[in-house]
Amino acid sequence: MKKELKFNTIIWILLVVLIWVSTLFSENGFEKAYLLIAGLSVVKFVSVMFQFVEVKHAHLVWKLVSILFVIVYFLGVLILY
Amino acid sequence: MEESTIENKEGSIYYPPGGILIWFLIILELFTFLGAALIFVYYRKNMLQEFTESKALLNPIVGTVNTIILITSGYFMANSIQHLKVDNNRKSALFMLIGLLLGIAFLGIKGVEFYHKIELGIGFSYNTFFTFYWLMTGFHFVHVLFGVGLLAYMYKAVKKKGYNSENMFDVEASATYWHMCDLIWILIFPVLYLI
Repeated sequence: MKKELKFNTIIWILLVVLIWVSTLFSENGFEKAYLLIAGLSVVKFVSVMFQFVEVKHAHLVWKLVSILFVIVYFLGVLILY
Repeated sequence: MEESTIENKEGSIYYPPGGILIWFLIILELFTFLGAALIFVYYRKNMLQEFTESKALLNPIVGTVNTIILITSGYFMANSIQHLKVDNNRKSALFMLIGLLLGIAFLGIKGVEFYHKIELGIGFSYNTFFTFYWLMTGFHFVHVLFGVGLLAYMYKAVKKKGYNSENMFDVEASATYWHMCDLIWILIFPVLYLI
């Protein structure tokens, strides 16, 4: 359990940092910021899904569903932006 | 350490974390919000000036702080589940309570944001950007509100030892629902506030 709690804390710190970094990219307003912001959303989504929802312990299908879903999101933003 | 029923079935395709029924809901909800987010991005491309001006009416810093509050709430909920897995109901309930209070804080900040928008006359029909804004953030708000009610119920039950490591299916399903609110927000927050 202690290991899981430690991982939860590491992921939480990572998420907080990534949330702030996304906002900083947005505030700087450089041309390709949307790509980095969408890319960081993918990392955040996968982190929550695998660590907090514990998909890392689930069947491969659920892992793939989670990853494919967020790839569709990223590609959608990339194509439609 | 006793393993929960869910843990014994870990790795089975029919038993994703929280159970398969909650996953039907998660997939349905995530695809609905994904569709809304991508349609929003498409409209943005075609109505760039309106969307840029409207985005300037949102406060990304407040949005960022609120995002961190919601994610932190999910973190405490994840820790609550870990403590329940080893029958530490006291700590599990405490962490759930913190998660619950952070969820209420998220709703409070969002409520103030909504109030200011209404005060400025920025309603559902103000323009296309704000139609999307109200639809996406409004539906998400309702989901979090329902989640807060769910967590309040689970908190009381866990505190009274109504659940333990052998019987925690409902708590895990509720936690999965709560994380779904995080996941939806992770998708819609950058689209509405940042890009």
